[in-house]
Amino acid sequence: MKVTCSHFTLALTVSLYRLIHFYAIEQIEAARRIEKLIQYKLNSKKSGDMTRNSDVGMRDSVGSDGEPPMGDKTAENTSNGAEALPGTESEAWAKESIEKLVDIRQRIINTMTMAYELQMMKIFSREYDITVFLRQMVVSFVEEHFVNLFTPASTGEQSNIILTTAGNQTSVYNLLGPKVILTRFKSLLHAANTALSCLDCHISTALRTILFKECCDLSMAPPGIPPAKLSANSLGEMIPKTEIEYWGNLLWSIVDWFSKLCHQVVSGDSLANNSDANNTLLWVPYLNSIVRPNVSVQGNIAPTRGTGRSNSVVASFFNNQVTNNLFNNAISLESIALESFLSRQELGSLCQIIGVQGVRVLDQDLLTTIIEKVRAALSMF
Amino acid sequence: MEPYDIWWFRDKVVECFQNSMNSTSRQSFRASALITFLPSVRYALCLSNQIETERIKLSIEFFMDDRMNELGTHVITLIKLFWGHLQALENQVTQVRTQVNGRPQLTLAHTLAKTCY
Repeated sequence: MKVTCSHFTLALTVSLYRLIHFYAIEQIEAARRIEKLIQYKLNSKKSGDMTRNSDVGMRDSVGSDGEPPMGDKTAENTSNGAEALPGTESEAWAKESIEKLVDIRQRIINTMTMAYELQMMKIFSREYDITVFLRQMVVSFVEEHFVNLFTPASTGEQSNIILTTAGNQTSVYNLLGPKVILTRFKSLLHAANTALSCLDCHISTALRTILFKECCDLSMAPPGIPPAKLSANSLGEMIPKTEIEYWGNLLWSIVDWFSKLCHQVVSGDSLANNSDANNTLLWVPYLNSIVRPNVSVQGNIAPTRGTGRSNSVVASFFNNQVTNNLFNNAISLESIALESFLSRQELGSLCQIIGVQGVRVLDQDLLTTIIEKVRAALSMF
Repeated sequence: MEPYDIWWFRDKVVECFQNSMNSTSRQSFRASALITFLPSVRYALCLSNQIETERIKLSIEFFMDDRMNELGTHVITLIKLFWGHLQALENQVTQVRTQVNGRPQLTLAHTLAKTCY
């Protein structure tokens, strides 16, 4: 009986010891893991702060040698004191940004859900419908910012596209292409839709109203109707003139801006190069855009990269313009020419914004200009 | 104590409302439901005293207007923040997309967007 008891005590002691040992190892492992995590977080925060202080909102996600960012290797390297891999700052910054984004999204959803639950209240003779009120606020915010995307900001909050390029040639830094505007607008719609989706509402309805109001010229016949029928049965006759002047204001501003841009590029007043030698414009089918060949100072066209056989102007473009502007990290804004805004991509983005009616207005405006130019040229003979 | 007595603790109502707007958890938003008790104030009014009734009615309306404006401003601020973060991330992704054969290619739109953030 004694032996059994001592055996039992021994076995219990051993198992207890094993349990404690196992528990201790677990604790040590957990502590190590936490320590590693804290170290990684500290390094990430440090690199994130560094990038935030560099006053550039968009960080390079790849380094100079083009290596993609790596997750765990980065942490290893930074914890070992080695030089951080390219893209570490960007990764840390993106992680922080995504966390903030998720947090803000949750707050929006919470607020909107609360507003939706409160519904309507009647206080004496006044009715407060919080859902409708918030919906109106969001829609008016989108509408206001849609117009502001195309006009210079008076408050300096955002720098936007310039609708008058002819007089303000020095302010190229504020000139944003339609592609950037479209991206911003998409982000705005996404943000607004996040809020509106909690109120059983979709942004598409509001967007249709905004686009119809800002980018539709009611004095023009709708698509599919020939211009001859315009005077007989047009919306313009049914709506007062003051309202017609107001409707489509933004559309005409955009068309005016684009038309002036075309004039400026054709006349050779590019901001990039003002010398006469560089003012020859070419249409390159391969790039689907108008380009300005880069001519050397002596007036000779630079040889083609690689084979060196062709001496054409297009070849010199590929040699210099593409190499300098697309493959060089240190691109300067001074090297951007106005004709870059006339590329197919930029025009496609612009057409997406202004819609069918806008394209028709733009087309009509450009055709009028071309007809005038041709007439002027013919009158010389 | 009746629900309409909440009118006499307006500071608390405002505090709860603001706290619930600034909080991130969903449960704390229930505190903002305090304003739903405000319509019941009319039961506490002495209808024979017209001056007092009008005065309280006006002050409640002003109070509610302020809260509604506050809520609207708060939502717009959040949307602006969300837009900013979304745009910044979008710009970064755009840059990643433009790299070909391991070499980053800066597009015109990308370069210009860089100057604005």
